[in-house]
Amino acid sequence: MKLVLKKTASLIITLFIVSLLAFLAFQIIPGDPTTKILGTHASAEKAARLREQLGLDRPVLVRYWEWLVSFLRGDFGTSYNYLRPVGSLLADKLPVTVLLTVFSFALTAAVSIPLGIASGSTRSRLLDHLAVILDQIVMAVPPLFFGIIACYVFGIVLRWFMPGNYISISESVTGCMAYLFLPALSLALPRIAMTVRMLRGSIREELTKNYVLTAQSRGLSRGKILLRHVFRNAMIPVVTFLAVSAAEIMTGTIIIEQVFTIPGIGRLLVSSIGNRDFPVVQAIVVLLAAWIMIVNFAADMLNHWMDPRLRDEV
Amino acid sequence: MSLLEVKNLKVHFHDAAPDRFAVDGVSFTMEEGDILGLVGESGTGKTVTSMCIGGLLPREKADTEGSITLGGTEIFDCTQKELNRILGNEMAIVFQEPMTSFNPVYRIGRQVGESLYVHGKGLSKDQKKELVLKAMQDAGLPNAEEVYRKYPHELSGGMLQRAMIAAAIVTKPKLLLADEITTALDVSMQARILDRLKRLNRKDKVAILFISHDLHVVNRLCRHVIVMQRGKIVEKGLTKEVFENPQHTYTKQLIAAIPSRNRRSRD
Repeated sequence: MKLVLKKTASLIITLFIVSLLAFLAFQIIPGDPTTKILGTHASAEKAARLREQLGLDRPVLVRYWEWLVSFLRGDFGTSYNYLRPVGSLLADKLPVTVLLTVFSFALTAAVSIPLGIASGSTRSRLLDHLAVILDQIVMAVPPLFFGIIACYVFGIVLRWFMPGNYISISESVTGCMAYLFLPALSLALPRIAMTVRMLRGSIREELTKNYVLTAQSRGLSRGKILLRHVFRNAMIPVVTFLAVSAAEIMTGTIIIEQVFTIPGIGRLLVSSIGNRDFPVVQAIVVLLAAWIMIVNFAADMLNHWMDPRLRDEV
Repeated sequence: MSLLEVKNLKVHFHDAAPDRFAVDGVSFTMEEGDILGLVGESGTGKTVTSMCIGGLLPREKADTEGSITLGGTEIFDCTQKELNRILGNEMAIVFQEPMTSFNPVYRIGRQVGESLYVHGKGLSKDQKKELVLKAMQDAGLPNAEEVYRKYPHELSGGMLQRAMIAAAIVTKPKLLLADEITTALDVSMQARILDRLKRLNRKDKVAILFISHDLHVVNRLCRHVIVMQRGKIVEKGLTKEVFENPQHTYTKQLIAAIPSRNRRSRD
């Protein structure tokens, strides 16, 4: 309980700092939202009037404070570019990205854990070598590259799906999942490879521990030893790693959404940065930071549940 | 028929020199209820011998020769499945390091009762817990109920080693292999554990193969002793006689190496 409070407090403080930094960053990078809205030929007065309208003429910290207060009230501001509330913009796009992230993460966990166990516990040297080599190759392929190849092979050559023709979940659940499968896989593949490698190493290490010998001396079969004793210990470092993966998958969607033309926040973020659409960018940055912290928080809680030794250190 | 018969046991590790045997022609027998001490300095093959008896020596790492029978069953001929039926049931093993011999993420009670999980089919949950608590008390653990719910990192080495003994005796095995089980503990804890082993031996007739490099401890516990050097048995007999009248120079050296206070009390 104490841990939950402590973690929640640090979560809030970190989010606060991240949002401030993101806000300040936009003061430093060149470019002005007024030129994006009015065009480069607008008169100086007109630009000044717009700046006043948007409140850009006032000091940064004052603006940050105002943004923070309304953000906490649930008002994320208004997009300069779309002239719509950021909240409603995100309500359209965020579910798509969340769906893609969850899909990709589920794929990562569902594939890598059984494979990791298999490759960590196999006694066959040949199989182990093959697994390591395959792992190395998959790990080295960036999602972007795999995504482009997949688009070409499955979209253009085989015509199994039409790149760019995103099917939303309200239209068809299976259609949407089918469309998201390749982007989810491109994001998941390197993660799967890394997780398998990590779990493999972790299991190998645990298998050398004395408690395994103890379990053997009680007549447990190898399979039982793996499941009852080794697995939970081996998963402890992997859980932390999977949390990092979940965070990286979410940020990875920014690029993969471009490749597969998926209307998520990734594409919104890229176009908003280009347009100097601060309120949108600010909201997305805070959401991404919140996601990263929440998955790490979840991993911490899971680790505390899995490893009793950690519980005493709170 | 003897409980345990080891005949001309030879072990050769694949990464060792061709003529270097970790265990080189060891033979001995144990009857039901015996306590046999196996002594010698580190690296003389004591642990390898016990690992062979327990069938725990990885077959891909070493070649073995000879015969080990437990109650008439040849250990070397057992399949893994057959071996698993014996281990933790008729034969139990306690290792040197109590701290690392427990799985850190599970409660003591579950681990002490694990042999019942494997071999105690047909027992109810409550019956199992009762047997575990009883074994803990027999192993000399105070407030067994409390220890049952603890995690390994919450207990001292002495407590853990007694819990390990409890785990070993929970299925009432005929043979207990104790490999340097008091080495990591302080002297008073050693004395308490030896006392418990003696009681268990008298009460349940469990035979104990007690492996140690500490002659003093062996002298307090074991009726018979075997002295090993470089994989070979150099001397064997009643502990008392071996101590009073050692025949082999190596045994003499070992006895001379005991701190003087102990030696004087024995003279």
